[in-house]
Amino acid sequence: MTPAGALVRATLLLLGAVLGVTLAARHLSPLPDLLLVVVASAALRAGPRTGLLTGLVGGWLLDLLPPGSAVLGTQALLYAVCGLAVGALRRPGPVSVVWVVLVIAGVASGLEVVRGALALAQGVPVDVLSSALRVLATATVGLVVVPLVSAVERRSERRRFA
Amino acid sequence: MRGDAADRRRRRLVALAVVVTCALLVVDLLGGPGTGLLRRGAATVLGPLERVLAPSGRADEDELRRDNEELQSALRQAEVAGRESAELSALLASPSTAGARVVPARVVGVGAPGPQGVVRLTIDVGSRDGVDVDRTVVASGGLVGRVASVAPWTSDVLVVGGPEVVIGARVGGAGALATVGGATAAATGRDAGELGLTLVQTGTLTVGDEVRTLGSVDGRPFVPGVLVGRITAVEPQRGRLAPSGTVEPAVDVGTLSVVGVLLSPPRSTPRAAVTGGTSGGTSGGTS
Repeated sequence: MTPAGALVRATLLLLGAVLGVTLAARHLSPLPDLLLVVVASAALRAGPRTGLLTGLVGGWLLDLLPPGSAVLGTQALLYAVCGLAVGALRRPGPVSVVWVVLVIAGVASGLEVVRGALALAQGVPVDVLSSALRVLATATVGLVVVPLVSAVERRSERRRFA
Repeated sequence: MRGDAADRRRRRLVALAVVVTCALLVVDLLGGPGTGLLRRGAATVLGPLERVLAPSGRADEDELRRDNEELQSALRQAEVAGRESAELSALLASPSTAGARVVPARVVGVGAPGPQGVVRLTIDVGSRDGVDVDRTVVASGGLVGRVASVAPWTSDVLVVGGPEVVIGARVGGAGALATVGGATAAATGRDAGELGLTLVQTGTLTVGDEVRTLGSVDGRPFVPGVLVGRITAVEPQRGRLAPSGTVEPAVDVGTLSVVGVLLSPPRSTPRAAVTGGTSGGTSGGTS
C-alpha cells in the first residue's frame, strides 16, 4: 500500500470513529457503525491481513477517542477480528453488492453478539431490537459506502503513480 | 526474494501490533500504570475535535450564503438554543442542584455502540472548568453518573446502569440502605436501561418507592439525596437474605443533552459537638 493510500485510509478511519461518537451524542437512532464499514471496505479490497491491521487501528481510535472504552484494547481486538473475518470472506474479482451487504451484516451481527455477551456478563441488560436495527443500518450504509471508499482509495493510489 | 522479505516484515509488524494491543489490554485490566496517561493524552488531543463537532446550533459559513438556508439555520439555532436554555433552566431549578455549585455541560460524545446502550459519555467541560475526577453528574431529572477521567477540555462520565457504576442508596420513606447497579442482580431479568437494586439487609421494598443516593465522604463520587429512580418491580426473595428489585432510572440517558457537574467543596471545619436533650427534645422547645 502506498503512503497516500495509507493516509486516506487513516483519515477515513478517524472520520468514521469521530462521526460515530459525535452523532451518537445527537441521539440519532439507529446509528450505523461507520468504523466497521470502513474496516470492511479495506478488508474486502485488500484481504485478511490488511483487514486485521485496519480493524486494529480503527478499534484503537474508538478505544482512545473520549469517552473511550472501559478496558483499553477491547475495541481494537474486536474490530481486528472483524477485519480478519471480512478479509477471509473476500472473493477475487468483481463481487455483487448483495455479497458485500451480507458480509457486513454478518460481521456486524457477530460484533453485536460479542458486545451483548460482554454486557450480560457484567450485569448490564441488552436491547436486542436496537442491535438488530443497528445491523440493518450498518449493512445499508455499507451498500453505499464500500464502493465509495474503494473508489477513493483506488484513486489515491493511482494518483501516486500518475 | 525481496517481496518475500517485505512480506515477512509486514507479517511480523501485524503480529507485533496484536501482541502490543493484548499486552495493553491486560495492563489496563489489572489497573497497571501508563494506560491513564494514554487516555488523558488521547482526550487532550481528540477531545477538542469532539467539542467542535458537538451539536451547538452554529451554522456553517456556506449555509449562511444563501437566504433560504440562512433562515433555516437561524431557526435551527434558535430551536437548539431554546431547547438547551430550557434544559439548563430545568437543571438549575431541580432539587438535585439546590444549593450546590454546578458546572453546566453539554454531552458531546457517546461511547462505542452496542446492545448495552449508553454506558460512557463525554461532556464538554474539563479540568480548566474546575471539574475533577469522581464528581457527581446530574440532569434535571436526577442522577446521570460520575466523572471517571478529566482532560483539559472534556471529561468522561460513567453512566448509571453501566457495569462500573455502583451506588449506595436509600429507598423509600424509611430510608432502607441498598446497592444499585453493578453486577448485583442478573441482567437477563431486566429490560435494557433498568437498574438492579439489592437491599443491604432485610427490609421491605414497595413498587413506586423513590431511590436516592446515600452520599459519600466529601460528596465524591456521589452527593447525598439525588434521585436515582423509582422501584418498578420487586423480585420474590426465594432464599436470598435481602430483597431485590428493579429501578427505572430518573434520567433517560438516551435523550440527554445538558447535564451539570456538582462541585461540592470538602468539609474543612470540624463539626461542633452538641449536648443531647437541650433543644427540640420537648414539644414547643424550638420556639
